[in-house]
Amino acid sequence: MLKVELDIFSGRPNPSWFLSGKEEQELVDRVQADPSIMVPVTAPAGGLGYRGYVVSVVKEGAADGRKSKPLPSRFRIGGAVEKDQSTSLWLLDTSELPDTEVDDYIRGVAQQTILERPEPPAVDHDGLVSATDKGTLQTCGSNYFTSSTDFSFWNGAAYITKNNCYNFAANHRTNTFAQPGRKSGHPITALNCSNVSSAAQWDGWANTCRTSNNLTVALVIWPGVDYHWYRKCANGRWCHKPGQTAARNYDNSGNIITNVETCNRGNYTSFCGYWYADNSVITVA
Amino acid sequence: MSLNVAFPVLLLAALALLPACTARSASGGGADVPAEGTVRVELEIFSGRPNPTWDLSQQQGRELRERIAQLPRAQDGSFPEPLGYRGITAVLPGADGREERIRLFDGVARVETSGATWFLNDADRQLERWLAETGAPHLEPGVYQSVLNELGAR
Repeated sequence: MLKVELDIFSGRPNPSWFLSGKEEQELVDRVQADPSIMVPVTAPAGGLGYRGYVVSVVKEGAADGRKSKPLPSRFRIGGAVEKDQSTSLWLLDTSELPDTEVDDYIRGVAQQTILERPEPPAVDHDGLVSATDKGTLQTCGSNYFTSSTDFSFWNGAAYITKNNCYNFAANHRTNTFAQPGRKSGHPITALNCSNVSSAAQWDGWANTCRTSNNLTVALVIWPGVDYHWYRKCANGRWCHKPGQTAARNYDNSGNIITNVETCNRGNYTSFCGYWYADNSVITVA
Repeated sequence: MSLNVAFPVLLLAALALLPACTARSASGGGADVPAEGTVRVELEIFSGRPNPTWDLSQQQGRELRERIAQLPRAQDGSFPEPLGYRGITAVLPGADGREERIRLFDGVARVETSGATWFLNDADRQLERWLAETGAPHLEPGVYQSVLNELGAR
């Protein structure tokens, strides 16, 4: 029998609950698939607020006759770094019991924190090349650079509010407020580097230079909230179009962007790497 | 409305985590049409995802009009548009079918109607904050909190 404790309170005792037999098996399956999601209880878990889960084996052997599970007697899942966001969210779901001590408010706080915590490094996506292999900034042999000062193609009244950063990155004015993965049928399901990168990869972006007409773009994330793209323009400058606003070549400090990794990006603090596509091929929707 | 009351609704929105599910798009052709006479509010914040929008209740709509009427005129105003939160806009339907659009950011209100534009002084961002707080039941917790942070908690 497994007890799950949501490590979240400071003054009050943490709420806890027991997993059902089916849930217990699922947790075993999850940790067997990736044992690294289990960390010692004493591992750094963060400060005030959500600090992950402490799972304890409180009785060996489940009521349905299954033998004891190959688990440490006590371990932590989640915390300062969310190695497996989906397992942390799933564990939160298991707290929804009739006599639960975890109400919707607590679940909301925990969920928000889980989604905003640092994410794991590279994971594979359905057999594709790892979508989170951060592309490095390369000097491509053949490039397609648009002007770094003339943004009239994007900033006209008929287009400015209907095209976003992803449209601008792909140099494709669809008037649909394009979303990564929508064209390819693999839309975003979470707002983190790996998920948005994967959706973009399905759309045709690669992490190495293409043979011709390279668009070089960079993805950044406001963790759990939104994503944003920059595209390399002429004269070594980076340009971007924040949502419905005007395309531009400067950052939040008003400085011309020559290094997208160090420019002022506001809340878009996670830098996810560089991506490449042939301008004559890439389309978005 | 307090965050306590708002959270069940916010949680449902956060669970979806998908642009199409969490925001009524005011851009990109996906916008629905507010009921006649309803004031629609748009939080200008996202880059990739469509901005979140919501409708005010009749009472909130009346209060908004009263609050706007109390703002003093300003000479001029500028509206920077940084990456991230950059203001909040309300579209108020008029009795004659004409819309009045008010955008609030950083102590300045810009009002546009029938081709005319003028500016008002929103001292201490009071109206901007009030309007943002009407979004509590509609916004994802992280988004709502980040806006409150930008506006400075009272």
